[in-house]
Amino acid sequence: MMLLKTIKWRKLTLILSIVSIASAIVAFTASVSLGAFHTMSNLLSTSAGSVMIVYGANARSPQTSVISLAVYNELISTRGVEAVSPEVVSVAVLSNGKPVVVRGVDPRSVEGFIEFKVLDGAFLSGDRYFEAAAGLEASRRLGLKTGDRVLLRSVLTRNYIEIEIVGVYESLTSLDDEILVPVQTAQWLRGLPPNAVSMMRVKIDEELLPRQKLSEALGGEGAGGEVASKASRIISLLFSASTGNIPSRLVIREASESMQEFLGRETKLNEASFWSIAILVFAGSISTIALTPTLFILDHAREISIIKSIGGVRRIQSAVLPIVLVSSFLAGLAGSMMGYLLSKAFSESSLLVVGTYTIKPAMSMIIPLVSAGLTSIVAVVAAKIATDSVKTEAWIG
Amino acid sequence: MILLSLAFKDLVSEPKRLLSYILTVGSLIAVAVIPLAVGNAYIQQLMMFIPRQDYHYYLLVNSSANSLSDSIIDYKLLENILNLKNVDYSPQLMRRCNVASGVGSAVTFLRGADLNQLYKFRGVSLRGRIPMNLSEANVGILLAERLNLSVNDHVEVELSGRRHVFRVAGILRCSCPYDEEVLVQLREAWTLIPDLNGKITLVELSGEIDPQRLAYLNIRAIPLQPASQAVTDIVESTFNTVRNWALAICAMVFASSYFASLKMCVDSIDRVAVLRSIGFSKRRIALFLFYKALTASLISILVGISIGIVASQVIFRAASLVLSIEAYQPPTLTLSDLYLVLTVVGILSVTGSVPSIIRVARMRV
Repeated sequence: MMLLKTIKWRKLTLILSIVSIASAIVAFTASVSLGAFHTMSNLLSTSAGSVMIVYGANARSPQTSVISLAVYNELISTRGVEAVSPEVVSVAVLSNGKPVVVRGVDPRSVEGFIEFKVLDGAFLSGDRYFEAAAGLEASRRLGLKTGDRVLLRSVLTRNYIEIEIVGVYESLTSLDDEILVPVQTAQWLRGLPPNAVSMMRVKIDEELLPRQKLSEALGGEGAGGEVASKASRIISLLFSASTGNIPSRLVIREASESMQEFLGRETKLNEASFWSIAILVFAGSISTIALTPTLFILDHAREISIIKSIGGVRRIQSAVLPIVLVSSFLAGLAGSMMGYLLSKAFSESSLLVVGTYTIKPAMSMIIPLVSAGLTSIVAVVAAKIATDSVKTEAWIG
Repeated sequence: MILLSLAFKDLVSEPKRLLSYILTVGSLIAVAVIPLAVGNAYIQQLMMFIPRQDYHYYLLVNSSANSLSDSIIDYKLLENILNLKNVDYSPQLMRRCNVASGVGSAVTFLRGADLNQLYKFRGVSLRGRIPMNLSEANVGILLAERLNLSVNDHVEVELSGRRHVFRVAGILRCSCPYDEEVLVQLREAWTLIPDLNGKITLVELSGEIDPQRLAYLNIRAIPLQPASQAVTDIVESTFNTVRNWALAICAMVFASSYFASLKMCVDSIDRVAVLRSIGFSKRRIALFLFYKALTASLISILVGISIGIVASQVIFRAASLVLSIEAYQPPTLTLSDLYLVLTVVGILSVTGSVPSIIRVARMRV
């Protein structure tokens, strides 16, 4: 009790501030690096139930794949398949030189997977070649607004088109960083014929059609016969304009699995790689974190040495260390929140970008707990070492 | 000078303490340098994959126009210039129009061009024939399907407030925007829109030109298929994220310097007392402490950057071995990044040490 009275509480703010700053930086790094990983691996994810991605087996990623539109017919007529969205992914450059992912969709089909909140104007009708809807992040980053006429120049071909932005949408998915156009417009930009698309999202009823059975259902060529009656007007038009069939060997994966497999195979990166970045930052901050409790203890060197001289070593440790532990843990939690908010602010200012996608900082409870836990452990260990060293220093002094 | 020499000697006389100051600030600088160095290596590697692009395809539009629909170019003058060069080109006049048939209507473009040349240029396949006179037009396959049109059917086109009826001479398929357009010969388009007689919207051009030379005609040459431009922008924007993150870590250097210099000042209290006793003013003592902090900061920055580069090389090479990645460019800092780190970290570490120096210099010893 006596010792508690002698503590200079004002000095504790030193520990609290440095621990919170260190935690903020570690949490900032963790949420940005994990956010980058999640942004990349969730490029195709939606909040809809069981969504599978069908794409070419030889393709590096679903986005770069080319498959036959005829697969749509096969899928839509399979029992247990609730919805199919054929999509074409292309990259184009705007007049100002900024690149953007342009995704060709059939509006009626894609709305079965993603809930689009139209913030301004209207969504795609799917009926007009020259219309486009911009995602919220893309409209912010590229300065697009409803009514703008934008010249899109394909990166892969010498094709170009001027589209009119009919609206701005928010989907809370990676599509917010893209421009949506009708399927045929993206086919033109990508240089694909009317009977080819990049990939298809498939929503299945797992009770009627288990995931593993879906690949068995995709056995045939699918080109024969008339277009399925469920198909939208534009898909029917594309079928009618198609000649021949594109032979495709298909692969079916879950949305996130398809992207994680791509990241692991092509960039050798996985979640652990991104955690290691946060650990690296923590390692770099250890000396700074350790320094503050040392200074706090040195501020109490005289009191500690007196208590030690009368045999109160345990009392010192039982009084000081819990104070350091609890205060640094709480400061760590507060700092982690600061770090997360900082990463959110960076993200919303388009300062955090991977490719053409805005990094959405990841925030799970584990990040502040780990960040605060590690920094408080370092603070306690440093305080313990400093307390033990006081005896010698004090007597020498 | 005496103070500087005294500060330096004081620092090196206690190597253990000096090491702790250096490690505290230097380790954070190293953490900021590692991602910059690795990022630089990746960016250099990626840039090597991007071949220098020579543009051969251009779109010529009016440089004052906000969109293709607004673009108007005087064709006669441009034609004379282009004919002098060894280039293939296709002049086109495009205007929005409303197309109607018995089934329905659609808003689309009427495109006037030299259709023989254009169809060859785009590899268009045509069912029927190219329009021969003012009463004929070609219709794209998607528009034809939408309006249920066949060859020899009639279609009504509303253009600039006037209605025109065309016989569908042919239905084209090219998997391009023409699939949804109405196409007529350029000379017929000039007759249909007398206001734009002799004018065009754009020129599709293949061949080598000097875009600057067209600028005086108020014409902008937009390169097509700008792959290297897009990839460069994507790579740089990703790397800018690493830069922004590294700068956020640099903010921690300020806090770190504050505490490191505070510890250094606390450790120097005996020396401050001696200097006071021999008549040093508070200002000179503050200068002595500042020199100590400055020297420690400079050493920390040099050590931090060196550790950062060495560590990034070690991490990079270890990662290459573990992950069996093919050899990339070894991590290093570009001069601009080095200046950026030196400036930001230098300012932050020196200013970070000032509050603690003032505090200790004012102390009664």
